[in-house]
Amino acid sequence: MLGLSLDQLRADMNRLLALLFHQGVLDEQFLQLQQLQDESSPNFVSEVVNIYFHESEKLLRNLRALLVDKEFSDYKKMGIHLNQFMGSSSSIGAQRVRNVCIAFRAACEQNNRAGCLRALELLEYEYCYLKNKLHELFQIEQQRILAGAVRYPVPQQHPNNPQV
Amino acid sequence: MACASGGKLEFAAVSQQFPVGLRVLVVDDDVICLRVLEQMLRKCMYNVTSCSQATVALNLLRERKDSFDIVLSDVHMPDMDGFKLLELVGLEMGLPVIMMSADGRTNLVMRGVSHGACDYLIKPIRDEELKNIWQHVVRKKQNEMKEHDHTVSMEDHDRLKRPIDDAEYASYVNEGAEADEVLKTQKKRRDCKDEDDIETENDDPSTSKKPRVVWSVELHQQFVTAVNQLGIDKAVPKRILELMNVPGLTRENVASHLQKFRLYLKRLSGVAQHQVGLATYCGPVEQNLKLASLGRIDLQALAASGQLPPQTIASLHAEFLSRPTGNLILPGMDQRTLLHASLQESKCIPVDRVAYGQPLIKCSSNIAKQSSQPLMPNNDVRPEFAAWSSKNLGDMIPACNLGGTVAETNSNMLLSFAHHKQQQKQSMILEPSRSINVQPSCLVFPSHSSPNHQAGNSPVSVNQNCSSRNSAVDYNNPLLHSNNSSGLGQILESDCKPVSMPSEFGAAASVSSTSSRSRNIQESACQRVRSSSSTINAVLQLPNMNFVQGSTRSPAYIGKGTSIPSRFAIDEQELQMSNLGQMKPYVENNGNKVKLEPNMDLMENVKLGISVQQHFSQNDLMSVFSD
Repeated sequence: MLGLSLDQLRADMNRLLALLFHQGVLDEQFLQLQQLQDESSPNFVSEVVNIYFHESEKLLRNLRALLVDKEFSDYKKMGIHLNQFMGSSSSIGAQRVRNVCIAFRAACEQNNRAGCLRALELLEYEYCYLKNKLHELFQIEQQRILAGAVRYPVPQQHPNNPQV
Repeated sequence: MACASGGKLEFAAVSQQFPVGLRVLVVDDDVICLRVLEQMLRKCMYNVTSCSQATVALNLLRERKDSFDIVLSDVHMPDMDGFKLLELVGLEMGLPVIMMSADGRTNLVMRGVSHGACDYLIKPIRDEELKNIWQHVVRKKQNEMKEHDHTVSMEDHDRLKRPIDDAEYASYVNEGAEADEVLKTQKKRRDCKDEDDIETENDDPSTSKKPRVVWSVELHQQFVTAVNQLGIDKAVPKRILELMNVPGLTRENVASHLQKFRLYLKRLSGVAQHQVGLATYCGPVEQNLKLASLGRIDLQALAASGQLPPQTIASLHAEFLSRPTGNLILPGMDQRTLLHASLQESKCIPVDRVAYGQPLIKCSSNIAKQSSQPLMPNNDVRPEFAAWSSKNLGDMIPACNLGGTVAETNSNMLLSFAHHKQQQKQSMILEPSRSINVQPSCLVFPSHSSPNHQAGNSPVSVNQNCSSRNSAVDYNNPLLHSNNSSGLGQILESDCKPVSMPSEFGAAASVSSTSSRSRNIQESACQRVRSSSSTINAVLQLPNMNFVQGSTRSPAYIGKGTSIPSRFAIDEQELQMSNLGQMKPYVENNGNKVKLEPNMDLMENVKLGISVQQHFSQNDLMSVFSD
């Protein structure tokens, strides 16, 4: 039963990844990230992505504060934030977030407040979508690891493990 | 060729382990990028140190200067601008720096290049790009090596070169730090030869054993102020030390810092080199003078009379003073060979004049226009390039692409070097004895050449690349063909050896190879464009601007044109118009050489220069280029 679900989990994961690639949410940089994960850093992807979530939320908050609070927004500062957002998004392969950042930055450079607000909303939407999907992905992976981990001790721990 | 292939062989032999353990310092305020990069670099088997703050990184570098081979730095950092860090690292440590940013807009990349970045990576950075970064380390080392070689006379040059290469590669592979030491010792050994000539060059070998002085920004500022106060000619370490009045600082510390600063300037700047080349045309006018007096007195007189820009004087000083005594006769030889070359070239002289005289004028006028336009965007270099390329050489941008990894290298530089190289080959063909003088400047090109050159391709192929992809080179071809159309290839092949020795921006080259007036003009023309383009950057970024005037006369460091000479930019801007005028005399001075009419005075030459240039319309010019 668990053997089956392991394959199923793997298939789910691949399907989800394929979907995200198809939608352009992720790009090949994410695969590079996965390839970087090895024995020396087994949780590399989730580690990096979690830092990304943390930083991105900070940046999004800052951006919103810059746009909403002031009458005259500090576009230069927004540009710096966006640059960072772009850099980190592209580093984990979050293609759509990055693209919105580019549009946002363009609006910033034109001091286009309305454009900035639209871009910010889009950015928040894209970010949330990415975050949800990546969480989903990590959950599946977590399950898969658990399922995989359960399988290995099977021969030795058979009596102690009622699940198998 | 021997050198290049030798290097290649050694690389092949050590390639199993060589890039492994390369000590990389990564600086990025973006922790995600930092983490990803770190992991990628680890995968490349490099020894990675990561740092999220530029100031921390700088301190780390200052404390453990010799424990890194290369620095990767983000451009946008809150605590310190990446360019500032780049500048300081280049200045103090002489390490190759790769800039990275998600922002790949041309003006930003150009800024990176102008500040001396050896590469500019756009995020997301892929591991393929990182696998190759060791090449910058090797290239840098080779540059440093060659740059010191060129002050050595030919015999020394030949004798020392191979052992140094071997020693360097071998020890670099084994222990990077020791390689540095080897290099330094060699450098010092050679520098000692110059001590007779120039006091500021005095870098005692024992210095390295004394405790290192950390040149903080404040200390450096004091140093710069002192140099400024002293002026061009009096900025010797002793006086600087007196003015700085910092307890614990020794004359050697100052001398060494002065030297490093010049090294940095040279790395930053191709201007000085061109200026030197330019100035050497004044040299022949007073060819019978002793070099020392030429450097010390007459050039100053020339400067006083407004005939030479200060940097030219400074660099000329530097050049002359830096030459070992054994080489002091060189300008005389140059003069002779120049005549040889010129006479043999005489067929195509008019072509020369059009081809190289005209761009200068165009270029200068563009710049003049630009400098009078306050609306011109500060950091955007493109307008200048656009003007240059559309008006003069439609192929300027392709020429830029030719650079490959040297995309940092200004396209104009590249062009001039492409030309330069051709000129050198030509000179070698013309006069075997010239190759002595010419050799250092042959080295100029490869460091700006495409990556495949670095990989050890023959310069001939590089050259072919040039001509196939970049018709900017084409206008050299008439020259080449008119001189020696038959057997050119063979001669090039046989002359490959000096030509292919990578990476030397030899300042001496400019002095020694006074071969072609056209080259100087061409380069100077390019220079104008470049310097004006980076002027604004310089204003924004460089606190040490004024120092240039005081320090450009360094022997070893002038004219190593790795990048846009932003430090020279201000002076350039000021001098553009006068240089424009001065360029013409130089053109015609050389014309005089060719025609053997030394009795013409400068003023006549100016007029002559103008009239000649007026003879040729834009169309003529373009047709010459497209020939």
